[in-house]
Amino acid sequence: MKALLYRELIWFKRFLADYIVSWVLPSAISFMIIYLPVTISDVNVVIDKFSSIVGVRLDITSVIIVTLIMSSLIPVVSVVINDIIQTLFSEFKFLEVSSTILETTTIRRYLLANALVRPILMTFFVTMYLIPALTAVLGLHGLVVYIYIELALQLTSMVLGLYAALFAMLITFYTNISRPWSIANSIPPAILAGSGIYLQAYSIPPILRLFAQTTPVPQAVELIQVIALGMSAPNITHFLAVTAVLLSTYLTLTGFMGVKTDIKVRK
Amino acid sequence: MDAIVVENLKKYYIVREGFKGRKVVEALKGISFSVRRGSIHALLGPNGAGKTTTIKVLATLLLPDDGKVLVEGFDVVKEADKVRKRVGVALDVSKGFYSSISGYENLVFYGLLKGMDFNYAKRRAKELLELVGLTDAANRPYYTYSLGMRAKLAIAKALLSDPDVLLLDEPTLGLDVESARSVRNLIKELSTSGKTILITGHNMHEIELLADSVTIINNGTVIASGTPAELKSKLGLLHKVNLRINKDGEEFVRIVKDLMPIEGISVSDLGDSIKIAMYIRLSRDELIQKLFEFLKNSNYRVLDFSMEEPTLEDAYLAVVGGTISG
Repeated sequence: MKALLYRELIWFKRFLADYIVSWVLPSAISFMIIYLPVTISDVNVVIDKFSSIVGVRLDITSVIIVTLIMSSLIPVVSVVINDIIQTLFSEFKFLEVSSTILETTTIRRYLLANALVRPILMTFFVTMYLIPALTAVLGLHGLVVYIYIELALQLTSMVLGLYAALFAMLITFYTNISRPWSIANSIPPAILAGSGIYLQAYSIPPILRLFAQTTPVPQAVELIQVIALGMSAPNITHFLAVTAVLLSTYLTLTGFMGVKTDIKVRK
Repeated sequence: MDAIVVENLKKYYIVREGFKGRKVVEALKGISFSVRRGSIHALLGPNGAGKTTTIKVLATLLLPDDGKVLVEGFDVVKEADKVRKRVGVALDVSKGFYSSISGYENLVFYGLLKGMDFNYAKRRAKELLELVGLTDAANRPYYTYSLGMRAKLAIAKALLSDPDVLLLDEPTLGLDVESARSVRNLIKELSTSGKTILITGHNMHEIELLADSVTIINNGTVIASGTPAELKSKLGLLHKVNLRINKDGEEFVRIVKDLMPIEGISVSDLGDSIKIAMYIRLSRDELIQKLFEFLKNSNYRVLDFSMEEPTLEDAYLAVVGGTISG
């Protein structure tokens, strides 16, 4: 755990430019989502459209907050899934640091630590831009909203970390795939699209919705929407129940597969 | 006491052949050897002989299929965690680190993975970078390191947890003369400080300089073992003796041929003396004893004398090639 924490902080310093991009992109996306339709129609039309998506009458400030917060899910899902899959693959196939890992610990321990510690840190890093953005729009209350959003994102990312670890194990140790990014890059858009981010539920193909249901992202989208709209006591039971079930399932699967993989790798 | 004990170690690999085919490759067919605590032991053999596989089993990176392997008395399968705490490994010194972070950061990360306290890991990393002469490059990203620097960093990594046993797989491979020498000196110093070192390599001159004992493996089996001197002696390799005497070379040759197993001889008349070169198949001790006893009791005056010993390379080639060469 300490080692991964240390490495992640080093990587954060080393790849700060990448993180800046991950702050700028969702901010730009949320800006474009409002600004572009406004240029071709009218601000009221855009507000109406957003109100119909979330099912509540919004004002322009709420639309900005909702888009800003919803957009933070994009880097969280893509960074966590891509990084967990591609890092493990490169460690064992390109960088050949596998001996460093295998001579110090077991695959199971390493994977579990990776799947839990890294998403927490990465989620914090990629959503840092929300602190100044929400404070700028909502003042000090923005910090409270940020804390709620961050907690929901953190829980989601822990499940995503374990979920990605399973894919990472399969791709790295059980297949001959040599371009893992082709898979890693396909999963986040499918999850995000299936979760109804910026879409009305009826417009999402059932297969995508089903795929997204293997993660807590659809429930996170609902919860984040509610928090963003400033509802005082959001119902978090559904989100927590789904997260708990998926977390325990993936934790068990990753642990079980980790033991099997450790034996396979050392065979 | 032995720091490493390997008894009847077997290791198989399953290799894919075509789309569905599988082939079992026997990498190690029951090898046995032991390494005395505080000594340098070399594992020699041609490419694919099983040296790296053996090192990987000792480092707990691979599970053996059969046999008993103990490191500092701990079983590499049942007590893998205890073995990992006592072993430092340098496999393929040209890689094995994160390229985007510095040598120092790589070492601290490794230390933390090994379970060290953060401050201790940082202190050890600094100490070892100084020991291997990488202090100036400590904060440079790993991808900027030369091969020599990478090898030194790999040795620093192996030493980070101050292990009792070091497993070094071809630690000087691809290094320039100066770097190779500094790595050799470091290995020698570590052995003097009490570390047990198991090393592999193809540079016989280097192994002869470093190793206290040697095991030669080929096709997954041990074909010879002992100290370099024992190996050379056991194989009865040829010694070349150059002599310059004052008179009658032919008579000298006739007598010496009766005394010792001479494989080849050449005599040249230099005018005022006779130069004789002989290839004798005897151990060094026996050869010196017999030759000097003869010279003492004869009337020959020796004007010059030199003896060329067979090298470890000769012994290695004789064993691996299946023929004894001189």
